[in-house]
Amino acid sequence: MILALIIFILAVFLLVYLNFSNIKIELRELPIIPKIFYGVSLAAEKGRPIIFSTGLTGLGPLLYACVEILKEIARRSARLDIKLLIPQNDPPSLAYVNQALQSVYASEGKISKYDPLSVVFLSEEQFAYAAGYIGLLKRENVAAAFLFGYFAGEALILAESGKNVGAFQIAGSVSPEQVAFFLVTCEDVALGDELYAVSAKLSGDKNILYNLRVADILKLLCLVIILIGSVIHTKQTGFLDKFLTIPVKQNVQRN
Amino acid sequence: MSKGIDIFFKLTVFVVAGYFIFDFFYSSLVSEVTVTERITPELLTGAAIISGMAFALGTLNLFLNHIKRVSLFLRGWFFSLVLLLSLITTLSAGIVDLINNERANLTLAFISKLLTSDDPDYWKNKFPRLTKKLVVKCGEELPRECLVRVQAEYQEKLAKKGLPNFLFKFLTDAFFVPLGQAMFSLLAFFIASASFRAFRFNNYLSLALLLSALIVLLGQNGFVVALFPELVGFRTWLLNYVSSGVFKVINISAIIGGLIIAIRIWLSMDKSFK
Repeated sequence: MILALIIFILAVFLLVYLNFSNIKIELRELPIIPKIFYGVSLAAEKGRPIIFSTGLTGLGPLLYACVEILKEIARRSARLDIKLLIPQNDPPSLAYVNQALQSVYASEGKISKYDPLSVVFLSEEQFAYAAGYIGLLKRENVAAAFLFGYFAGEALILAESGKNVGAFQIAGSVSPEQVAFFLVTCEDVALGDELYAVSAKLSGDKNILYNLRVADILKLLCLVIILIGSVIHTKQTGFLDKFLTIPVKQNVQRN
Repeated sequence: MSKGIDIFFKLTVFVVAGYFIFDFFYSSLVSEVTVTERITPELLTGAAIISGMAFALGTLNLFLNHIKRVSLFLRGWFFSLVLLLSLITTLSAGIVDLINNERANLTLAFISKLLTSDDPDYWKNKFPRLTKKLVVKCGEELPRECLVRVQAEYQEKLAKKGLPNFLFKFLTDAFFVPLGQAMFSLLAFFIASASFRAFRFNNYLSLALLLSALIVLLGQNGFVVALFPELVGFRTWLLNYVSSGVFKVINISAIIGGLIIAIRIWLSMDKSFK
């Protein structure tokens, strides 16, 4: 627990320090981002809607990251007059997403095009949500589907249904079990914390880029701790001694 | 939003979130009994009330969306109508059942007060409507025997449950649960079609995927294991070391990413709506 406290204090200190230092951070190109833009363009070309699902994500840090991605997609959708559908399963998230979407349409000067009912509350129940999502996909005949957030057993149902309607799909999840499902059904996938990197890159906000830098430093710290732990554990098991000891040839007495 | 209100919100977020952070580390490092445990339930109750209000917002959204579909006869309007009707029925059944239960519980509590209290007149004066209800059944004097009989009646009523409860339970057991299970069972077919697409030999990476999937699949089959017992070792190694290691990497990275965003929100560095 002391280690957790140290990591927490270090994270706060680094975030505040970077925020005041105004260091410029460049992020490498992420191959998933052009594909996200391609999906939006494809929907505009086909004149069909886009669907953006945050899955079972509740109001929390992950939703904040997903909303940054959603905002960029919504910005482009507003410019290109594409219908955007955002099914939700958590009522507090619904309010937050609605607010974020409204601010995007307002900043683009297209507030009259903003439809509060485009953020649809389906159900809190996992499979009822999946059923509602499939219904939306089929009725609206969506051209592109974006699945970012936390998903559970319904992940494959959502992604396979998208595949069936011929939607261009991009996904990103922090749940490792579901990433495998997305890999086989979507065009591209943001693996685990890559979702945060996509979010930072799309937002272009320097604060969020600083977040990424601090997260990288902490990950490096965790890696060092894990390596030290592995060495200590291996030493205790005696494997390391055996591995590092040079075998000495014993003299065999011959008669 | 004016600057004053903005600062007020930022301060509130900082203090409340800081309180929970302090609570977490204090209870883990210093003492098992927290000094803050008296305030925590109050704050959590507040959070639950806000969530409840948000739930009402979600229901309203659902209503508006589907009323729009039905009134404009948009594609699939009939399903929206079914959804609206079932929503209204379930909601009404739930609310009526709740009210009935609350009434019965209140009457039971009142009767037990009348039976045990030294001054029953105090309770009669305090709850005149409940007294009137009992007077209709037992007469002006409210004899003890009658009160005991009415108490038993209400207890029986509570145990039996009425039509609203039956309707609520029927809707849950006959529709909600089986439909959820039907959706879940579809997963098996989706997995089959997805794995058919995934396990194709295109390059060396897909070959690695194909081989490891094959080892894990065959390693679960009793007949194959009987023929090649070494397969179990391979399968266990793949699951316990390779797969588990990757899972941990993704989990640790995601947790750190989430922690940093949480700190950003705590320190009001988030500019989502600016």
